[in-house]
Amino acid sequence: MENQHTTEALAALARRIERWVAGKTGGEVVVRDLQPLPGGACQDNYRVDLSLTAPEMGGDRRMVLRSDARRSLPASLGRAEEFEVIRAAVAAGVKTPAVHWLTEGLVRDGAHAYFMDWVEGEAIGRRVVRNVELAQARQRLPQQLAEVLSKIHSVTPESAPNLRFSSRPRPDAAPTQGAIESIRRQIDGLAEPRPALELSTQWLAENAPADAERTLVHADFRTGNFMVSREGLVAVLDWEFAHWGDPFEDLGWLCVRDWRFGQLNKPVGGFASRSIFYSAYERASGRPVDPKRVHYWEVAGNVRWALGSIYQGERYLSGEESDIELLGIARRAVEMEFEALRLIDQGT
Amino acid sequence: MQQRPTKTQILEAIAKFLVAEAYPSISDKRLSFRVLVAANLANMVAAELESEKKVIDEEIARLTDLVPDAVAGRAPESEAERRELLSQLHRELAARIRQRRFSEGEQRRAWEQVKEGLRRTLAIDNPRFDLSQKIE
Repeated sequence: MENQHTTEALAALARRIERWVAGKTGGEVVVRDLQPLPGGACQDNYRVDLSLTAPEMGGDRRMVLRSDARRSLPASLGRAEEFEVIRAAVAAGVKTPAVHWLTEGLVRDGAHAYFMDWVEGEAIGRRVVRNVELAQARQRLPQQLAEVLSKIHSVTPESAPNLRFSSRPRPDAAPTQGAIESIRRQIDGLAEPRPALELSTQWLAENAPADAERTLVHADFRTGNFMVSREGLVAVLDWEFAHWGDPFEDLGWLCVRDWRFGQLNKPVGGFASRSIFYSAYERASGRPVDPKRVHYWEVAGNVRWALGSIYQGERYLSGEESDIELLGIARRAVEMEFEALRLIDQGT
Repeated sequence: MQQRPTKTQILEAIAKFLVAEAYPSISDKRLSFRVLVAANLANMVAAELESEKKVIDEEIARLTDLVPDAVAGRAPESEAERRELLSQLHRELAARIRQRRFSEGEQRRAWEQVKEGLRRTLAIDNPRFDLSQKIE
């Protein structure tokens, strides 16, 4: 792969950004700084410091430029779809950084890209659940996250008919069926058999709750994917797995053991009890929480993350990535496999 | 073949070196985190090496009991043969679960044995992982 981050390449990208944003805002634009950002399996991200002169959007602004990477994870959105999802979320009042100026070919031929407001805060999971200075924030998080989640779940196919999720193979299938098909496809692609995943997937197929309402689902709503400050929630991030689905999928995912970052006795994201969070969500959304449905999606979440972690290791083994942490993550798949079986045995 | 220091001792020494000597001198946070991950992996492999033979033999015995016909007449001797047999048992078990070829009783036993295998792996790979059944 050619190096996209040489001084020359970055300088050329800065000039293209200036032309593109000037055209969109109708004012002059100077890129004061441009730095590639680490992380993100599906994106190629940069931090951009801009000076703008347009009357509606002037002054110095720090933003993130998010562009499609060469590869993407299964069922993940491209930047063009993600842009539309975030706009719908912002319109619904969700606390998430606003997005601007969708384009194609700015960073790389054929790759969509957009700009997103920069937000400051702590997103590292183990710090969010442990750091002393965030103790007060953790008290506020259940209420704040329940409100955000209820706003996400207020977006429906009827209220946002233009939202499309073309990366989902069967967007109209029942949410449980779609999840099971995606899991089976991933199991079939594994390099070695995993009997534990066969057992938990069979349980998922036999215990799927009846199809209920369908809403926007963030699908990666967990500790580590929202930004927190001393005052509490700053912003929800990482929309790349959003789709139409069962709103309880988001509640189950938030409770998945690994996202508790060691705070096992705080099942909701490592910062709250189930009863506190469920009541907050019920008050905010007017939707009664069905613990059985949350349990189902928590099992499904563990299976999904067991597979996700195995595939993270494959990214290292294929030579695509060089971060040794990916091997550590892959070896932890057995934790999620065990947790799925334990949850099923434990019941609701 | 040289035996001493053993593979386990060397892996443990690598982990110790990474944590005690390399880690404190690295200021880059992302890099220092990866050093801890590497140390953790070295420790994990050291622990696996110590118990590997026993774990494989016991798992072969438990799974053979579930799908005896699949491996009838095979008595593996070398380590490579035993590993291959264990893989075959996993493949067979996964296929029978997927194809629903187990009776209700067999399925329950398969569930218990698979869970027991995960429990034993976790006890070695991550001794801090809470294996208790009751968690909120």
